[in-house]
Amino acid sequence: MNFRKTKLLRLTILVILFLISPNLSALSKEIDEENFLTQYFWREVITLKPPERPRIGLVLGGGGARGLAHIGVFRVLEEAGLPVDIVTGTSVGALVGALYSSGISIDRIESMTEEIGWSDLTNISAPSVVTLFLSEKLLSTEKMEKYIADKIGNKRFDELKIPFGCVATDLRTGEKIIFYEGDVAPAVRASATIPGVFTPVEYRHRLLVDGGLVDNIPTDVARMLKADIIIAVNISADFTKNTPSNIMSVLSQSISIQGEFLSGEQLKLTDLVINPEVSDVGIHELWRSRECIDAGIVATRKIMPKLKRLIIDRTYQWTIDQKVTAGSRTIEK
Amino acid sequence: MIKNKLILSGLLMVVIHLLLVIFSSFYVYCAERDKKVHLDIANMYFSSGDYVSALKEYTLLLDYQWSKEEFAGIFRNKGACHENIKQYDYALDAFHQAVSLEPRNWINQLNLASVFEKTGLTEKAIEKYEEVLRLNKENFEARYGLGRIYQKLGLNSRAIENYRQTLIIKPNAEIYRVISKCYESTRDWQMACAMLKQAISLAPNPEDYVHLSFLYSIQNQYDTAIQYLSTALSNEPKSIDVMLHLAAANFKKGNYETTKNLLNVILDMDSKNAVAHFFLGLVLYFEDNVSGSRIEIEKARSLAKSEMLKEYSEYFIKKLN
Repeated sequence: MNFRKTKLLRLTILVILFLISPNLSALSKEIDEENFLTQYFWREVITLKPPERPRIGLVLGGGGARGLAHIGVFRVLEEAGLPVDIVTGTSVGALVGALYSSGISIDRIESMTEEIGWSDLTNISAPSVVTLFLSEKLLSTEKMEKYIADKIGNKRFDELKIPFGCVATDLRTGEKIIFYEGDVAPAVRASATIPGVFTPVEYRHRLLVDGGLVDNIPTDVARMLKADIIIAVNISADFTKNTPSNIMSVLSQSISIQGEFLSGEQLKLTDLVINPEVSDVGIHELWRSRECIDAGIVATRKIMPKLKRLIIDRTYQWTIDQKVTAGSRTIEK
Repeated sequence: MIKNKLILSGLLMVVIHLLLVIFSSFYVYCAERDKKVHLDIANMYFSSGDYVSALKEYTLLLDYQWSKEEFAGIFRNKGACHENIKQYDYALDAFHQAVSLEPRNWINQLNLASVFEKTGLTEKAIEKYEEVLRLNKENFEARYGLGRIYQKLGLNSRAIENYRQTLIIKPNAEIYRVISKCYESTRDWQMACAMLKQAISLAPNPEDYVHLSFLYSIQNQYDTAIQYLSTALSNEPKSIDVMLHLAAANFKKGNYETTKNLLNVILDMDSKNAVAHFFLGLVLYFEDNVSGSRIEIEKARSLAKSEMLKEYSEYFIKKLN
């Protein structure tokens, strides 16, 4: 009797399994909605050009050697095929941004950083540093201007492949000077001229120094250049770990504190912030370039799914808005 | 009497010596047998994937006498056990021991490279993989490892160079696929397509066809994209995923009728397919059929399983209102 019951139970299970098996196979063929939509709208992001999709602006913060992380950020964005339509930057952000916007490949920019030292950008040398401290004669960034002009070929802003803007500070008036037209090289030089160390740059009757004093992450400039989506790269230092012990470190610390204070406000204007972990790198430590580039790569890869989703969502909304607006216009006619 | 005693003690000495020889031989024999047994047990644990037990055995084995090569082998396996249970520091120690015993053995260098790669010590991993290639020019794993590291670092041209070398050693679809990915990262769409086509020729699969069509549509070559998706669909006529991609490609091309037909076929097969309803809504809107579009998008919203599709449908409906 028991044997019969067991047999019957087994048979029932088999019949049930047989009956639900087509449904199981149908379920296995079910498509991943999110994956499909992501793929479809990501293709739209890559293939469409503004104004058919929102303009993507990348804002590169200042921070000396830490700014080499921007190179890693660009590398991953390129890898993902994410288009960058507008670039703005301050200080080292202006330097990297100008090189990239002029069309220099990221491989080339990376190899340039392997060769670069402060002596390529400034007149820094043992005697010049002694002179700086003894007779208060500031160092010059003239070499930086020549370096940029050499690399990008004396270009003007309107000749760059990607619209670009950068920020400097007028030391006389305290005004924020936004560069988006004229020659690129002097603008970048002014944007990256650390006050108190380098001689201010005289440009069109103004005395210009590092833009980090007034705007270390120029998100507003990206907005001004008509970016619809703003991604910022924040490379601020963890100044709470420093113990300033000499004039240079006090100066660097003061700039960092002010930069941090200003960045807070500017970051509110962004849609997404990439934070490479470079806070322990000093502004002068150019030799830690590989470390900084890798930090940029890691931080961007980490945030990439979120970034992609943000851009896809906005592109979708943009497409629908445009289509609906065009549709209602047709109906009005 | 004394003579007899002397003979007896002599005999006793001989017997004792003989016994000693027999015992020591037996001891050596037992020890040899013992270490072989331990080795067999360790290897058995190792092959069955019980790395913790294998590790205990390999550690015991280090107390026995072995030749240099045998010691290196034990360290190699000990290191592999540590590696498998993610004790990378110990794995490095063991592999280093193996390298010091057999520096010219490329397997030891390869093991080290692999652990360096896993622990993110990229530069050291590159150095070791290159060492392997110096010892064994045509080593597939080392070339593949170098390609993988360079790809991760975003150095795509170097990655491609190494991956291409692996193709000479042992061509397979997966390598063509990763080379295609590298070209995609450099936005060399044509080469990305060419490499993916090679992968398909070696091992066709619908996912590759779908991705190939994606690469062609990026280049605005919708006809070619449609052609590849059609091939994929003929191989798997009931694949809703391929059908949806084909519908999307036709939609982009402006073939609204074909798009609608395909979406209706999908809905005949699965009336609750939210993506198909959503796309049908989009197509109808593009054809100025606002009311039809609203109905389809509403359906998509109610059937959607993902938050993304729900949000997208809601956004569209809000705009339509």
